[in-house]
Amino acid sequence: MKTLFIIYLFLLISINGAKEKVNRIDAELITDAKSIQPGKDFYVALKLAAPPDWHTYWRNPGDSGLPTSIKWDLPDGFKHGEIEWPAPHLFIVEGIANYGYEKEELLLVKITPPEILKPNENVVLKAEANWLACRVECVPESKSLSLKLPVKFETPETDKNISEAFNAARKKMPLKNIPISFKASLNENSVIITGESNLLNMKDLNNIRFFPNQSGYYNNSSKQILFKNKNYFTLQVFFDDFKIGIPENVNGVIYNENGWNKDQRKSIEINVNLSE
Amino acid sequence: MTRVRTKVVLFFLFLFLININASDKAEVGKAAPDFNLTGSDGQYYALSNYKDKFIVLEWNNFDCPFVKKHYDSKNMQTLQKKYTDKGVIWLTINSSAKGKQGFYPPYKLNNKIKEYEANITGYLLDNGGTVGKKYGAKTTPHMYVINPEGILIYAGGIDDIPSTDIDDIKKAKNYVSAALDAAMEGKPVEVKTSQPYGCSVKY
Repeated sequence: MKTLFIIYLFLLISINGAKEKVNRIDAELITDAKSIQPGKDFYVALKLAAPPDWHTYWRNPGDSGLPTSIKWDLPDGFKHGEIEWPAPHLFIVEGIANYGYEKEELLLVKITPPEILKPNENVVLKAEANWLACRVECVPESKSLSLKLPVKFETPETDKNISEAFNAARKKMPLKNIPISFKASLNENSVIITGESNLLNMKDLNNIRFFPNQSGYYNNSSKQILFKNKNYFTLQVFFDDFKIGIPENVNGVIYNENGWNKDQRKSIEINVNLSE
Repeated sequence: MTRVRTKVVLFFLFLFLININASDKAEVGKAAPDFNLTGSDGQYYALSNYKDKFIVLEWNNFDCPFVKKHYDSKNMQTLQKKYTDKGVIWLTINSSAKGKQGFYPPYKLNNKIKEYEANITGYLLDNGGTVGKKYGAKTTPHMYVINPEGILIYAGGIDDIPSTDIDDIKKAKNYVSAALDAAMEGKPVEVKTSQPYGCSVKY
């Protein structure tokens, strides 16, 4: 009888042990706000920490892979925004190109609490994060996460370290309002992006690359051809041999090694119609 | 001296021939480039042996979670069975380089094919990656359909839901069967290309 019980215990432990899957990527839900106010937006971040050689993916993973996703389970009346993606890195291995993140990355999401909330009560934000962890091999991973925060009427105190990390993450996001006027036109098997600005010093353009938001259209691994003139530049971006069609819009991120402004922000957003 | 010159000439001729081969790239709506590969069964497989037949090319790496999604669920085997029963030639191709994920000796691959009860015409070894690159294969799986006239009529994903979740299969639109069904009835293929999804091919 005793032996049976021991076997039973052993089985129980081993089953539980098997259930607990160890992820390659460390995931955590964090916020810099120590409390929340009714109706006042705040940010949370999915913090993904990858060990050396491993990476996760951007909204467009490129030639292979999957974007990270978050399924939210929020209390009544709470709303969430979409992931605000930092500009990705380009990885090319044996001609296969991917867009993603190495090391530690914060994926920020805006949360809007309802106008009416009881003070001094705790609110629990729950989320299930899914991502594909890849080195050479890939492993689909997921984690159920939660974050408990008290409701207070007064302005929340902030965690200084996390605030700094959030600000650093925001600096990696593509700039939105920049004084460059973009156009995009179709040119045989490529798109020509033209950027015009009198404020831009063309000498500062270096290692320019367009990262498309949408997958399926562009050749992610091929060279893109930059041409610079006095007050404009053109970037030729080639289509994929098996493109799924001609895109209506050209939207994505344009990366500049030297930075686009005096803060050295390296990426800007582009979203324009594609003309014939 | 003349011997050296002949050697030089031969060398350039060789480069030229390599070049011809390299430009021989797959394109939807055009003739599918021919190839010759050894199968895991030791037989030679040439695309040109299957004239007048529908052919499916399936890029494979049994260790990839996206491939597992379609094999553990039997989705891939069911598809293979359905169409090989109709006379379709189904060639599964492995372009994993030596030492990379998915690279196995033929007998191990044969065991996996047996274990999974795959219904394929052949499992082709492309460890040099030449055929994979010729077809622009990027992911496992990455699917191609060739019609009896030898024209590539579909290239892309197996279906329209990129995930590793088996539950998504029944909700997804399978592009390979859509292309085969349409072409077999003499109708135009609606989706000729789609974004393939999966692990990168381990060239």
